Amino acid sequence: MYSAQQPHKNINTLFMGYIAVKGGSDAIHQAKELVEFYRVKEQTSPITIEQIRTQMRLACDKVISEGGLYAPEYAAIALKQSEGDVFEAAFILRAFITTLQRRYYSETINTREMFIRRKISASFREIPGGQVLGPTRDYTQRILDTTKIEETLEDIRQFIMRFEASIDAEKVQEITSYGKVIDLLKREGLLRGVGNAEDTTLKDITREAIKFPAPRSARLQMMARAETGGLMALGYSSMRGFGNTHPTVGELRYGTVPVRVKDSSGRVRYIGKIEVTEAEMITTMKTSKKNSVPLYSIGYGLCFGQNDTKVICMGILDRAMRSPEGNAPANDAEFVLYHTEGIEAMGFTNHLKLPHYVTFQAGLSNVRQAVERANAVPAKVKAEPVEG
Amino acid sequence: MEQNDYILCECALDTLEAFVTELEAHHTVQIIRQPAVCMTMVRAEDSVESQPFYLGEVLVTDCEVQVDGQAGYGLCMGDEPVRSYCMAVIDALLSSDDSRAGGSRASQVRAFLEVQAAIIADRQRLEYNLIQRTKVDFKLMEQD
Amino acid sequence: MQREIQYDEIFDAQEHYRLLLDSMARPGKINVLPRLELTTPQGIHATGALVGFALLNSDVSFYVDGPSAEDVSLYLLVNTSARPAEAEEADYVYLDGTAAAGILYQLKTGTLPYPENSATVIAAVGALGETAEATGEAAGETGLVLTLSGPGVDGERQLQVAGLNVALLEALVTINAEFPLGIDVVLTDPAGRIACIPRSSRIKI
Repeated sequence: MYSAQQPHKNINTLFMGYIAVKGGSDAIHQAKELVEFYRVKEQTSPITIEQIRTQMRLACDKVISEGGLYAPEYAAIALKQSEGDVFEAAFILRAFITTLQRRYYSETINTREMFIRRKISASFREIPGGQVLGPTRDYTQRILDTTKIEETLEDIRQFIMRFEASIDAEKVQEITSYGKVIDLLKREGLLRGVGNAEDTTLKDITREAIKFPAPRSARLQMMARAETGGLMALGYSSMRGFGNTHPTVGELRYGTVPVRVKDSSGRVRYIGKIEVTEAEMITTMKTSKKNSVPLYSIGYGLCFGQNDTKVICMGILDRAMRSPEGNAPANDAEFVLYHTEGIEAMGFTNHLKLPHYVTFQAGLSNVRQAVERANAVPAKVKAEPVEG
Repeated sequence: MEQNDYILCECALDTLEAFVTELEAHHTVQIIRQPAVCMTMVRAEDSVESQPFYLGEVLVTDCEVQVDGQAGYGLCMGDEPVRSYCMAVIDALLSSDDSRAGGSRASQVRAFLEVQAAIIADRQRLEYNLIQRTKVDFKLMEQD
Repeated sequence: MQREIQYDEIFDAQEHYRLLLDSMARPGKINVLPRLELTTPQGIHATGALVGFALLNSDVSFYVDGPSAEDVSLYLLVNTSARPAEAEEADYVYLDGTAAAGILYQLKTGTLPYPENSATVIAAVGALGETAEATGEAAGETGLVLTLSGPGVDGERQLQVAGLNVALLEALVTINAEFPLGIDVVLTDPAGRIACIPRSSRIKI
């Protein structure tokens, strides 16, 4: 991809498959300066990285998830640098990944160990540990809150003090973790795997390019770092009938899970905790056999940070991509995975802005010749007039 | 062992730094590998079929030291050079013969860890209880 | 087993990698890796080790051929976290320039859709030079004169190599006839010199 970072004075520079362009290096340099000008020309106080990380938490969560790097502080820097453009910020993190070495692989994280901040089920009313709404805007009226204009640090301090003090000292509980809803279904024998003979090998699409048909590990990995909007569109399409997956939320959880890694001495170490959102979407399995018992199957979603939409749609699409009817876009793994890969999609759509002068000239030349030929043809065999 | 790592990862950085700075004065600390950021690829699995998959990279800082000749490794999430260095020093101290023999340095470290553990537990308990208040009481609904 | 703490994983690796890249892009061009104090075991000299430090990491595998294989493997593992593997699977293969040709035939040469899934050989030779005098002085014998041509070479380039088994070269030519399948070679000598022969090069001996 062409990067407008450095002024290119060398006219022999060639860009992957496009023609060598001469000149424009001054304009490019000035454009970069102009970006900075538009970012700061109002001369308002610089936002701190900590402010972005803590007060734009969900934007940072999107960036770490789509960038594929759990580093909220760096996501905050990227968001500041890109003036809040989440696509651009995720791109910056992806580029940053290429400068880092991957020295370790974690032990498999266990979401049953999650310190729960939010845990709900739309399928069952009574679930282990109850329905814990957690920090959600789901039930707000979406009324613009103009009190945010006047907010001061003192207001914040007062709020925190009041909020924390309102805990009834008599009713303080010790921390417990809870079993999953799907474990109940499993125990009752109501759950069944999707059934198709699937490739269960563990692939790493950051080390080898995805090939189709893709094993489930590759599909889950790609969706985990896919762009939320893309997943949302396709998940929604599936529900609206362009596909056959209309599930219910079996369980949706948001919280922190511990990460453990084997260090250079061979010992397994706790290295910290990551925030994740997880969804298990319950769907009924269609079976062609008459009188057979309809069973449930699960679509699964998991991503970094707090993002209900993403994991719900991951779950829908996980199930859809395993569905035998392959006509709908949501059921087509290649369609879903390629088009929701945010950096790739943004890059390719935007590449249209790069000079295609020679390509276009060649095309234009052909069109002009075709028009000339059409006009030169005698009246009785005149071709249809070309549309303007 | 894991409990120690947990405490060192979750405790306040300034407190940890002050404690280790004090310890450093009494030992020979050699840095074998400077704290440096790198990545850990997180492995996950789906909750029904246990299909393993890679969730994404997490930024970590690792560091290797030798304290009085004993190797120590610090590894923690984030861009945290001071924390990983402190963890490495404490790892070396707790792995040493002195530690195994129940020496006084080890006891000092363990005492520090215990104090920090209590602070962390209090913080967690507070958060847990704030969250529990959002638990739906369906019985109240039925009373309407 | 020596942990090389003086080696800078960013700046040294980058500098050496750039030189390797230059030599690989311009087949036969000799570059000199700056002198660094390393304590290498028997069976590998500093130049070979530095090439390894620039190229090896936990994502790739390597195989060491020769009598000191175990010590050299441990040294590379400890300093790069790369995985030791069998010759047939290894991404990087260390061998001595005097090794028998047979070893080359065991190595990966890639597949047509993925020709890059092949082995890169790091061969330790006696001396590298552009002229017979330079090589001769260094190794006590003139050795072979390779004439390289093809991509990256303007016309032809001569490379003098002492301490390289001609049968190895002949095997290389045979294997690389299947281009794009093939093996790429990095030659290293004890004085810090490197030169590369990618599979796209034509070699006249």
